[in-house]
Amino acid sequence: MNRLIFCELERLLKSKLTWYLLVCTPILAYVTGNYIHVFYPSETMSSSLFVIIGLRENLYLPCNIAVAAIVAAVYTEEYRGGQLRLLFLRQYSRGKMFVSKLLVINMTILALLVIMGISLSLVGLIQFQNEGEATIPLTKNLPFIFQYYILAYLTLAAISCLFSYIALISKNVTYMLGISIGYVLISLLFDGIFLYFANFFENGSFMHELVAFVLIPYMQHTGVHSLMNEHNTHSILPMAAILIFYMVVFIWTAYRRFVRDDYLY
Amino acid sequence: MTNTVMEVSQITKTIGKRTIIHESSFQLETGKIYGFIGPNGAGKTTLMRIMTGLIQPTSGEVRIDSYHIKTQRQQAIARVGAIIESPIFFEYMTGRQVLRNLSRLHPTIKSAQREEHIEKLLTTVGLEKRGNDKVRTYSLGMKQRLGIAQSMLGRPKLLLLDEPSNGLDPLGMRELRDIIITLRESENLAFFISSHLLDELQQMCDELIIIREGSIIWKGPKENIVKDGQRLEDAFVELVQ
Repeated sequence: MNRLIFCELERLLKSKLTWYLLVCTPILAYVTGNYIHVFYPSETMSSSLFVIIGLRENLYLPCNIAVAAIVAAVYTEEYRGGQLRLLFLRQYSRGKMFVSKLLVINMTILALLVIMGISLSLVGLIQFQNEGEATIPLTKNLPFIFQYYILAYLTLAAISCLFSYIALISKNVTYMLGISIGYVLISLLFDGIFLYFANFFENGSFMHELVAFVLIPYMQHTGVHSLMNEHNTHSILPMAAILIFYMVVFIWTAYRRFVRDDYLY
Repeated sequence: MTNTVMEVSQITKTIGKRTIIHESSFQLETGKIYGFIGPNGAGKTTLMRIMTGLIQPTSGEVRIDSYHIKTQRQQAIARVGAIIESPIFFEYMTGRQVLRNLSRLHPTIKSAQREEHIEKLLTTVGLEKRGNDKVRTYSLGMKQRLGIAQSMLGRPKLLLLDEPSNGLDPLGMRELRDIIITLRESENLAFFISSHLLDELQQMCDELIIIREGSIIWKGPKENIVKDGQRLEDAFVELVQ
């Protein structure tokens, strides 16, 4: 299994896409810093707050797009392109190959989050070091930052499961990216629709939170922040249920397609 | 002592209401080159995909060196290498990187021997000078040769080649034929080659297996179907019409 994972990582690292994402992450952090200067009053911002706000601003769109691109490179391109024949004709089972690809996707997401965190920290220290009346040193705020990033990782891992399923049913990479980004945009642009249905239930109830955060990009935009900053602890169980649902259902259906279907490409 | 390297027993493949392959059976022995021929749409590629486990048969079984392709997959697949349809690689990698990457999936190849093994394979197929070039810069003939190199990574006993001469010029076809015959002589490999280039096959093959509309209609030594001086193409057309 280690050999499979190493092989997948080797191929991913040889691909230009991975290096574009690695290079773009610090650039995105810098651009976010400039954006924050424009839209957030400087007295409310500090370097440690920027690490969280910076992630929050990028989590629901750029991060999801990056995850979709990684999943497309790992699954769709090889599945539809026929390169998987080269792997299926080796001694490893398809199940192990699927799991290794999944692990590599999650390792890459984690690595990109860490790079984003470090980049935002550096940008924050340079651009916001002396700003903010409630300046808390970055080091003191680390436990909170760590929790926020763990939550962010869990949402990205869950959405990668959905994207993995989309990757295996899409005709090509363009379809896959189109459907995935379409899902993200619809989640953000039409939040009024599922909030309307959520309001059929009592505000703050399990069902209300479940319906409100059923689409992950909206959960990333609003739910994670309200959980961490406003301490809406009644959101924990519904959000956990949604994330587990995505992870279990979509990975199982993607697994079945990858492992059981005849490979005709 | 049996020389049988692969047994295909009563393979049937049905998709929906259509039977693609109907109760096909044959055996392959080491050191022989088998030609697998049939009209377009006869089921050649489908059967080759079943032989490599890419597709599951509706019924029947495939055994490689007596190991079942499905239940004893690891042992079975270790003994076979294949190019199915067009040779497709990771275009952003060089030929050497492709072989290195795939060689990691063969537990029998020790790390210390990896580079030497890859170099030997590249030399065998005549790509030693192009090994550091990206696969996207390769011609079709070079990709076919790289395909043979990757199929030999695990030191298989049997190579399945699906239309390996497709798109090759006469020089390329000659080089490929020489590689196949050399490997048969030096490594005692068995080859199972599907092709529409019957003159090419006639020069290489020891035995033929002919398929039409999903059923094996003839199998045996080449001499039994091709009379002295006759072209395989004429014998084939006589048989299938």
